[in-house]
Amino acid sequence: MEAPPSVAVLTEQIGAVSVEVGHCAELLATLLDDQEGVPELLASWSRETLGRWPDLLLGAGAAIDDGSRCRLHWWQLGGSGLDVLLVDVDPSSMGYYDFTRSKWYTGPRKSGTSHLTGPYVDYLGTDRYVATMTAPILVGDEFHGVAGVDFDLSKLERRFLAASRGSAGHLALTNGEGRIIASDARGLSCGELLDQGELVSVVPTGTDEAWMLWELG
Amino acid sequence: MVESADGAAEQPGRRLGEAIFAPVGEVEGRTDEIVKRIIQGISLGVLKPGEQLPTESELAAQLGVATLTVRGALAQLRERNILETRRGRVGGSFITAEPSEARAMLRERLTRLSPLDIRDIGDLRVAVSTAAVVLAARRGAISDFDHLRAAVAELGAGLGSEAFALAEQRLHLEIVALSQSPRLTRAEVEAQSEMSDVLALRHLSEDEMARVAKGFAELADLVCERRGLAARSWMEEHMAEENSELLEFYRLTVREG
Repeated sequence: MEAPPSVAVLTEQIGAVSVEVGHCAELLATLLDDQEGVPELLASWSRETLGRWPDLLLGAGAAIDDGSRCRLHWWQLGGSGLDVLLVDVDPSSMGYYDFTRSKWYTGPRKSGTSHLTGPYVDYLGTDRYVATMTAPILVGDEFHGVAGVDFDLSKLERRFLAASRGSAGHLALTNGEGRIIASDARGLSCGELLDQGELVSVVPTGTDEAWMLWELG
Repeated sequence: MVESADGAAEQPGRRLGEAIFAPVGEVEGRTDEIVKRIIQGISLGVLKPGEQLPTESELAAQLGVATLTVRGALAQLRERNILETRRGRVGGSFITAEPSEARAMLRERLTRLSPLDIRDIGDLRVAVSTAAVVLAARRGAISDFDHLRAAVAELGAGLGSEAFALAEQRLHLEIVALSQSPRLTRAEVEAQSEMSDVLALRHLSEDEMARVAKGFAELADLVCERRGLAARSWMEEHMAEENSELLEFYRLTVREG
């Protein structure tokens, strides 16, 4: 089946976000040596991207590995506009965040393509429940970090619930490994794993394999 | 605060109101947290006598707090002879306290908690971790389990007692995060932070560490096999044992001090 029109609008937007993240990663790959230009570019990219999809996104930025160390440049929508996200980089502290071991970082490094991590409890970073879409920054075959966005799951689930109203069957939006981002089916909620032994079929959304829309039988 | 000529600023009611709503409490809490972290860092041997701390603004950026908050914390640490500030071209803040002195300070801090606090925080941790492990077994994805096994393997890597305690706390957090529940995760973070002095001070023997590491490896297997109820029983037993040991440790330490 095809997605109901209102759901298709939503999946097209998620697809557009993914394309935008990919563009940002490609641009960063050409600017890696520009020590001052990169944070500036990222600040304005994050502002624009978060402004473009305010009812889907929570944060945006990049983690860039310049060969000697890896830095996080991340911005997040706060009560009074955009806040810089600061993380604990002290290895001896309880809240130490080695994000180079996070799935949103290792996923694109392994696959070489976009990756949708979560929903997950980001207790070391934003301290929120998010899903993170990241794309690798590649110079040739060499991996130099990721560009990405955080989806605000409360917003996304509300959008999904409104969009899927009146659709014939039940739907589930998941990440690449079947973790539910949003669903309108009884007993399925955000964060659960979709049991793919159930009668399910993929609804084509015409985008990458980082996320999927399922029709439940 | 604006003082008016009629002395309105001196009215007790108004002062109390200001005290309740002023952001100072929050700032004091943060100052205290920084002081605690640095003392714990020294007792763990991560910060060594003679070592220079990053600048105030670097620390503020790393800790995500205002420079003023860092300045307050450094002043407190100076007063207690934990660090000294040298002026001039090679100036900065340098650690002066020895690990043993830092540990003595942590022991002193313990008396802020009562035995009831220790039991009560322990009860909360049992509730959180047993509920979380059931959900983790249901909601964890295969890729999460790889991560979990790697984190468990670190426990068995011959760590020192303090590093082991830290690794075990991180592991608890990873398991709770697998539950996909932000509220359970936050409850665990808060309980750990309240208990952190006790957890950091307690010395574990090689045998104890080996036993706990082996237990967690079994737990990881149960979670990965999605046997939530068995994992729950293991966790309940483990936490009950740990809580009674923590309370015993607390009693001994407070009596000695």
